[in-house]
Amino acid sequence: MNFNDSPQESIYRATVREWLANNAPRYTVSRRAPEAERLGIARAWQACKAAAGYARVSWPRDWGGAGGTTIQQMIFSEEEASRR
Amino acid sequence: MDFDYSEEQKQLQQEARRFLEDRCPPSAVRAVLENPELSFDRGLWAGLAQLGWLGTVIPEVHGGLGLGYVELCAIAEELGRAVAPVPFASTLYFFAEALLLAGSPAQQAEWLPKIARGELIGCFATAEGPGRPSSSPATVVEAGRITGTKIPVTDGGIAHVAMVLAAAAGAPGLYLVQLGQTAVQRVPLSSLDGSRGVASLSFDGAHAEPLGRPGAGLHLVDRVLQRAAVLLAFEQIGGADRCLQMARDYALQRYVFGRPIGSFQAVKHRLADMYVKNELARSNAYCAAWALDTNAGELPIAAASARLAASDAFGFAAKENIQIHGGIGFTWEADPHLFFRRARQLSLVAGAPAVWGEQLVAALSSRSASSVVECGT
Repeated sequence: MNFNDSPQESIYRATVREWLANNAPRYTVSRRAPEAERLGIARAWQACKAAAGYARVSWPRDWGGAGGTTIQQMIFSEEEASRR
Repeated sequence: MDFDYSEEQKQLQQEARRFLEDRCPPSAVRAVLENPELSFDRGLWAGLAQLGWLGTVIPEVHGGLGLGYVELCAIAEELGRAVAPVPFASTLYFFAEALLLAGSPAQQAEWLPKIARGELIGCFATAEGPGRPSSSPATVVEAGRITGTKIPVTDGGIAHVAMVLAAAAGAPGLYLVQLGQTAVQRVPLSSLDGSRGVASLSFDGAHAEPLGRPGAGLHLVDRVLQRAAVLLAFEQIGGADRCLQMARDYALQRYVFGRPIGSFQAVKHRLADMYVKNELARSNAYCAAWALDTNAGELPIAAASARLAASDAFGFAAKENIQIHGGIGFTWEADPHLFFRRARQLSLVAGAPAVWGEQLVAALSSRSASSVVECGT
């Protein structure tokens, strides 16, 4: 049992964190904004993630994923959530 | 990251499960429950000693196996699954942990080998009635003699030695008190789980030996409780898993209106809810096992989370298991009540869930103040 990142996992986490820092800020929207505006931003953010293979990290590449492991998926989700 | 037992740990757990299926079937639990004078299963206790499991985390120089806490957690899970009627928790999670944390080399050399050999049962006497251990206990030590009453003390009726919280010159400390002395009176108490004995201990000038620094008693008690919480969580997830298994088996075997009751949605939902709580408790317990084994800074948060999730899961699973068994579930002859009793006992033995909820909030607040990293980052 080890709940710390392995060396490879911390490299992946750093990569993800950097990508999020470079991309996520463009898609921020106020929670009080009209629903149409929030939906538009959410779609654009989803498209941005899809283009980079982050829409679903653990799915195979053939299906638009990144072919990553479940742990990588979890690391991405954790980092994405921590930016909220 | 690796969220699972290693191969060796899985083997140990399998071995423990087979041993306990063989040596601790529900009839063995029932034998102790129905005969209070037995107090515990002596044969099972001797068997656990023979396998070396009483010395799982005791260093090899003191006659133990010198393994880690994840191994002890794996064994704890199986003891919980079997609702084993033995003083394992009192002796190992409380008494031996306090010795390992604060005992002098001489005290460790005196007591740990006896624990590993199964010759010594210990207990942890901090309570003086309801509520958390007090920083000014009414039990006092003067010139090496202890006076006062501790109630309730799990396994107080069968233990050879107690770790007692008492005040000396106004400062709380832990004291080792041998219970064979004439100045010690024990009175067995009745409780919901008769397969685990409870007693009150009264001291009238019995000889007491200090453990650790004087005045550090309450801090030490907190540390012991934190570690015990993790190990108890594993007993709880073991018991909860067994309840789900029993309920599932019964739901497939019991027919009404020409079909198994497990095919009814209301029964399926209950089983699914049990499963979800069990998995949540297991994840929290694994994180806490890792934190305990590595002395990670996350231990206070991980231990409280594990304790809360496991108390919730076992309490729920034990209750729902009775419901799914229907009318028979309420009878003495059916086994679900053995688990219900143990679920209540385990959720109270190291402080009730409400106390751990407060501790979790306190630990989370101090983390956000100092921004320590969380589990898995």
